[in-house]
Amino acid sequence: MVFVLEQQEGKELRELEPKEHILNIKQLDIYYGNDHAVKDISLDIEKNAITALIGPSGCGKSTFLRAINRMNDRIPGARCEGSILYDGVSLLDKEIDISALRKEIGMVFQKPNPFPKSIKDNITHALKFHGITKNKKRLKERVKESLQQAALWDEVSDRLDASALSLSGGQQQRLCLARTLALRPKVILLDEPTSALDPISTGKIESLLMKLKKEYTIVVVTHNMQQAARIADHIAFFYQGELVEQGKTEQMFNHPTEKRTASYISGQFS
Amino acid sequence: MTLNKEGMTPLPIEQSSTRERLIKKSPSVKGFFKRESELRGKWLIYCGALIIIIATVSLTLFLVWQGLRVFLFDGVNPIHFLFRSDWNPGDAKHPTYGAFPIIFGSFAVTALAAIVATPISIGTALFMTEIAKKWGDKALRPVIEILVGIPSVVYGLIGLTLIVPFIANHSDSIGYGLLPGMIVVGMMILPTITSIAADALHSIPNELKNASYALGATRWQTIAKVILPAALPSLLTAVVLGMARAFGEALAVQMVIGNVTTIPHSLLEPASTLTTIITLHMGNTTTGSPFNHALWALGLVLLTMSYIFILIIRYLSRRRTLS
Amino acid sequence: MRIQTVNRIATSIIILCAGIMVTIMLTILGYVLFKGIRFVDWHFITTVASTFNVGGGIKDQLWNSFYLLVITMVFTIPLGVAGGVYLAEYAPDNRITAFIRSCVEILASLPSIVVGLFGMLVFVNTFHWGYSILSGAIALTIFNLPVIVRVTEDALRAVPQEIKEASMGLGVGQWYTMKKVLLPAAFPGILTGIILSAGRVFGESAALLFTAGLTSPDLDFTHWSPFSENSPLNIFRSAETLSVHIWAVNSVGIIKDKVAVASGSAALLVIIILLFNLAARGLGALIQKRMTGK
Ligand SMILES: Nc1ncnc2c1ncn2[C@@H]1O[C@H](COP(=O)(O)OP(=O)(O)O)[C@@H](O)[C@H]1O
Ligand SMILES: [Mg+2]
Repeated sequence: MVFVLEQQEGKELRELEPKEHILNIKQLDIYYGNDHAVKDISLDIEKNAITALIGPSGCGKSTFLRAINRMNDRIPGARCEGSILYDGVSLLDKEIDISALRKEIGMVFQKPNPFPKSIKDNITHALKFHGITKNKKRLKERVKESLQQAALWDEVSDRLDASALSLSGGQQQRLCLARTLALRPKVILLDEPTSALDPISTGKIESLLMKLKKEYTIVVVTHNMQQAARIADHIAFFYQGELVEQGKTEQMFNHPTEKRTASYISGQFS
Repeated sequence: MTLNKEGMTPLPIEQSSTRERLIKKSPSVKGFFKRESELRGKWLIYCGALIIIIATVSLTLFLVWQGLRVFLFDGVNPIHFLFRSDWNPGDAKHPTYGAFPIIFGSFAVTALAAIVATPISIGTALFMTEIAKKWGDKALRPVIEILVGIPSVVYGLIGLTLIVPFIANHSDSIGYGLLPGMIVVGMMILPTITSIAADALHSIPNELKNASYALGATRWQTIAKVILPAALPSLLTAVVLGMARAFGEALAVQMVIGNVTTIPHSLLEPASTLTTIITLHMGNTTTGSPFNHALWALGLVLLTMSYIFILIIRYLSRRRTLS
Repeated sequence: MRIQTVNRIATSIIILCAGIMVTIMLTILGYVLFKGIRFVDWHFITTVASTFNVGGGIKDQLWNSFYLLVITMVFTIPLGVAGGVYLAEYAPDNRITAFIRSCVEILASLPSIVVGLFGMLVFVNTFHWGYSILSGAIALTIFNLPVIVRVTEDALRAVPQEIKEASMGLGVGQWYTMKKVLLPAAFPGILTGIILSAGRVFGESAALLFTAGLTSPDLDFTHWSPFSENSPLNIFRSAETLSVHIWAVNSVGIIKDKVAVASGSAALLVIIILLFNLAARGLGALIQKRMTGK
C-alpha cells in the first residue's frame, strides 16, 4: 500500500533528473518601505545539499529566506526586486500560485509554532487544504510517514490525538518539520530552527537535517557558527544586507577571502 | 529576442511541469475548488462588514429624516422646539411644541449622574490600581461586572420601590423627580466609568510613579500631581462614555423621574427627559400625527447628542494618542 | 506633618469610594434577590400572566425572552464574527476600513432606545411586520452586533501571529487558515464574549418596547408550527419579554400584585444573568484548558 502511494506521488513530485542548482537568485533587492534590507544578492542554491545563511542579526537573512516562498508578500510596504528562479520558473512573477509554491518550498520558523490542535491535526491541516487526500487511511499513513521522517513517531505514536501544545519545545519543532515534510516539498527553508531549543533537541534536529538532505534541498539560517560548520555543505555570509561571501563550508571556514568573513567566523563580532 | 527564442524551443518536460504546478489558474479541478472556497469565505466576510455599514447608515438616515418631519411638514419652528417651554403637542385645538424642559431634563440627569458617579468611580479605580495593587483589581472586577450586567429595568425597579419611597418619607415631596433619577442613573454609570478609568490608570508607566516616590512624595501627592494629570484624557473619556450612557438611558429613568414636562426648580421636583417622553407616548400616538412627529424629533435630538458624545470621545482619544 | 495628614485623609476617601462601590453592588443584589426570591416558585414560572387578577405568573414572558435571545444570536453571531474577522484579518488599511470601525463605534454607543426607534420605523411600520419577534430580534441584533464584532476582533488579535504564519507558510489559504486554525484558537474568547453579551441581550428592554411589543398572544405550547398564530415559535407575533414585563407592570399595568410580579421577575432575571456570567467564565476556561492539553 505504502509502496503504491510512493510510486504515484513520486511520479508527480520526483521526476527531476539531477540538476546542480534548484534555486537561482539574481540581483535580489528587498525593501521595507525606504529601508533597504537586502541589497543586490545573487546566490545559487545546490540541490540536495544544505546551504547555511550566516551573519549578524539584522543583516537580512530572514528577509532573504522569506522572499523565497513569498512570505513577505503580506507585510505592508515590503517590496522585492530582481529574480528568483526555481527550477527555471520565476517565483516573483504575478502568475505564481503562492499556495502551490509554498507547498513545494516549505518553511520552518524560529520559534516552534504548532497549531493549538492535536498532533495529528497539525499534520493533516495542510494536507486537507491542498486536497492531497481525504481518505482517512492514507491521511494516517502520511501522518506516520512524516512523523517518522522527523524522528518523532516513536515519541508520540501513542498520543496522536493529544494537543500539540503538550509536547516539549524540541518535539514541537520536529512536529513543525514533520508537517512541512508531509506536503513532500522539494525545498525546506528553516529560519534559526534551533535557536529556541536545548542542546539535545538541537542535536536531534541537526542529525535529522543531515539525513533529510538526501531527499530535500535545505536552506537554513543559523546564528550558530559550530552548527553551520557541522551541517552545511555551502555557506553564505550576509552582512548589513549584502552577501559578502559564499562557498563550500571548508573553504569558507579555512580560507575565507574576505576579511569580514574571517572576523565574523572567528567570533570577533556577532 | 532571447525570450522569443526560448519560447520557440520546446520546453524540457521537467521544466514545464514545475511551471504547470506553480502558475495560477492551472486547470486542475482541485485547485478550482480550493480557490472557490477561499473566494466564498472572502465574500462572506465582506458581506458581514457591509451589513455593519448598511445598519449604521440606514439607521442614521431614517431617524434623521423621520425626525425632521415635524419641522418640514407640520410647520413647527425648530427654534421654538428647542428653546420654548410649552410642550403640549396633545392639545386638540392648540398643540404647542416647546421641548426645552425635556431637553433640559436630559442634560440635568446626565450632569447630575456624572457628578455623583465620577468621584466614586475614580476613587474606586485608584483603589484598584494604587492602594490595593495586589488584590484590588481581582476583588473589584467582579463587582463591576455584576453591576454592568444588571438590566436597567432592575435599576428602575429599585429606584421605584426603594429610593422613591425613601425620599417621599424623608421630605415633603412625592418622591419622584430629579433626585431619584440622578441616583439611579449614577449607579448605572458607575461600572462604565470605573472600568475604563482603571484601565487608564493601569497603563500609566511605573517609572513615572517611581520617579515621584523616589523624590519622597507621598502617595496622595503622587496621585494628585503625577498619576491623575497623566491619565486625564483617558479619565475624561471614561466620564464622557458614562454621560453618553446616562443621556440615552430610558426605562430606569422613566420609572422614577415623574415625567412632568416643566422645568424643575429643585432636585425634589419631578421632571422628564427625551427618552422618558418618547417611551411614554411613542406607542400610543397615531403614526403620522404632528404629536407623533414631535416625538421623532425628540428622538433626533437624542441621536444628535449621541453623535456629539462620539465626536467628543474621538477628540479625547486623538489627544491621548498625540500626547 | 500636614502632608502626611492630607495623605492619610485622601487614602481613606479612596478606600471609602471602593467601599461604596461594593456596598452598592451588595445592596442591589441583596435587595433584588431577598425581596423577589420568595415570589419565585414553580407556580410563578409555569403560569401565564394575568391582566387584572392576583396570582399571575411569567411563563410566556420567560419563554419569549429565551426565544428572542436565540433568534437574535442566530443573526448576530455570524454577522458579528464576520465583522470581527474582517477587521482583524481582511481589512486593508484604507478609508473604508476606518469607516467600518467608526460604524462599529457608533453602533456601540447609540442608546438602545434609539435602536428600538429605528426598528419601529423600519420593520414595524415600513415593512408592516408589526410588533413581532422578528422586529425585536433585528433591533437586538443591531444593539449586540458591535459587541460581538469587538469580542471577535480582540480574540483573533490575541492569537499568536506565529500560528498564522505557520499555516500560511504551508501554502494554506487565508480563509482555510481562519476557519481551521485562527477561529478555533480564538474560540474560547469569542464564546465568553458571546455568552456575556447574551446576558446583556436577555436583560435589554428599551430596544424592545416598540419592536417586540408589550403584549403576547396566549401561547399554545402544544402547537409548535411556526406559522400558527399562537405558536410559541411564530416569529411574526408580538412578544413581551421578562424585562419588558417588569417595566410594563409598573408603568402601564393594572394588576394588584404588581410588587410581587415585578420583584419575582427581577429576581429571576438577575439570577439568569448571573448564571450567564458564571457560564461564560467557566466554559471559556474549560475549553482553553482542553485545547492546551494542560
Ligand atoms: N516586517 C518588517 N518591517 C520592517 N522592517 C523589517 C521587517 N522585518 C525586518 N526588517 C528589517 O530588515 C532588516 C533585516 O532583518 P532580518 O531579515 O530579520 O534580519 P536577520 O534575520 O538577519 O536577523 C533589519 O534591519 C530589520 O529591521
Ligand atoms: Mg532572523
